[in-house]
Amino acid sequence: MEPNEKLRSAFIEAYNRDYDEVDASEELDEFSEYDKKRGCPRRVVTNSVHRTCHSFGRRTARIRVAAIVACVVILFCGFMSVPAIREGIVEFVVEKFQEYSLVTFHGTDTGNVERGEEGEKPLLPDGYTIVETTELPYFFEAKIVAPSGEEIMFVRTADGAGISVDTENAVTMDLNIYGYTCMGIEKDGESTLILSDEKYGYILSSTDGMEVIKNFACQLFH
Amino acid sequence: MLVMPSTADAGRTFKEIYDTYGTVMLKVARKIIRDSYLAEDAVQEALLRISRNMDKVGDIYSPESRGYVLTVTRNASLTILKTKKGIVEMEESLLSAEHLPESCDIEQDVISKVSYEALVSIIRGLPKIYADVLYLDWVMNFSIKEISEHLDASETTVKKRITRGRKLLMSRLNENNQEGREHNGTK
Repeated sequence: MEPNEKLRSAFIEAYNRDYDEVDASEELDEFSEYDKKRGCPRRVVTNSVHRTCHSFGRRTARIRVAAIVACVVILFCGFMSVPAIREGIVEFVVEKFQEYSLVTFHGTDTGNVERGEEGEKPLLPDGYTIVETTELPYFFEAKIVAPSGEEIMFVRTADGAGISVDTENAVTMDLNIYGYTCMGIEKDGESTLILSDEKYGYILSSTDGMEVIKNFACQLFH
Repeated sequence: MLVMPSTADAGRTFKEIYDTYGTVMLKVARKIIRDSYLAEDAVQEALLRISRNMDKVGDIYSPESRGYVLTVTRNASLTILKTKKGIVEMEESLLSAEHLPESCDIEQDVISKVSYEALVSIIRGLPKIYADVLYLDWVMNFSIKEISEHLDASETTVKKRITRGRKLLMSRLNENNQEGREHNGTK
């Protein structure tokens, strides 16, 4: 049975009184210096929407790790020779803190390549299909289905965006895809790849395995 | 999935929410999580959850939105705290002390006999674990799925909490009415 208007109104009043009590309390109301040094939540949140790295199940991920086990793996996508490491216009920086790590995409000023536009639709490899899209400030997000049916969460961002990634007890790895440096994360059956090219930063994730997103990335940058 | 409203509008609203509620959100988080850094994480988590439902927020300055922000922040804080203290245990122990009615229907005639102030007081006295789901259901009109995403709980858990919350509310409404009758010397 649906609540009547009196009950609904009373709920709103009750919660607003709770809100007013909290608002009037003398708890500290400023973000810490620690947070300000890291780039301040105000700037991270309002200028770039602090997104979480997640699979299509939208599991929110936060980092709560004191030690990260990392191994370095170099991936060659069908080439015998190693391509030169390219410096993207958009670079990603990983800042590791005691409680969590922050991945931030920064645009470097080379002036040679046109910067990516947030609303520009991605050109997908053959056989891949976008089934859902979400556009938020600074992010373009899509659920993509691979030709063989696996699902990939595709997040693309331009300069100034940041994400936090849960790497507690995760395996992280440095990868190279066609000259683009990437960071791979494996945890609890969810695989994530963070990378950038000349125009955008990308976060690819899937619960169908790292090979699925590696294959997608290889074809995306080929 | 629907495409979000224009990027500029969503960004503006998001910033307005942060500027308007950020301070109180931090206070709410700090009341639950004494660790100031984790409290800041909770606020960011809450903002992320809100950002996924911008199209349902409506007027961010409305009384409904204030309660919604409070609810989301509290639950984001509890999500973080859950990993530290196993707070899930509280749910069952809360109910064991209450004699709950079989039906979870909200009886309109019971509500009509309760004064508005008494009703507000009863709601404020409900355990937040139940009051919050009822708020998201009845005030914000979220689906079970949306509520489960807000609270980082399974849909089964959300349904259970809604049922238990209704029963608890009815139990306390009936108690209030009973006390009122006894006070007035009626049976």
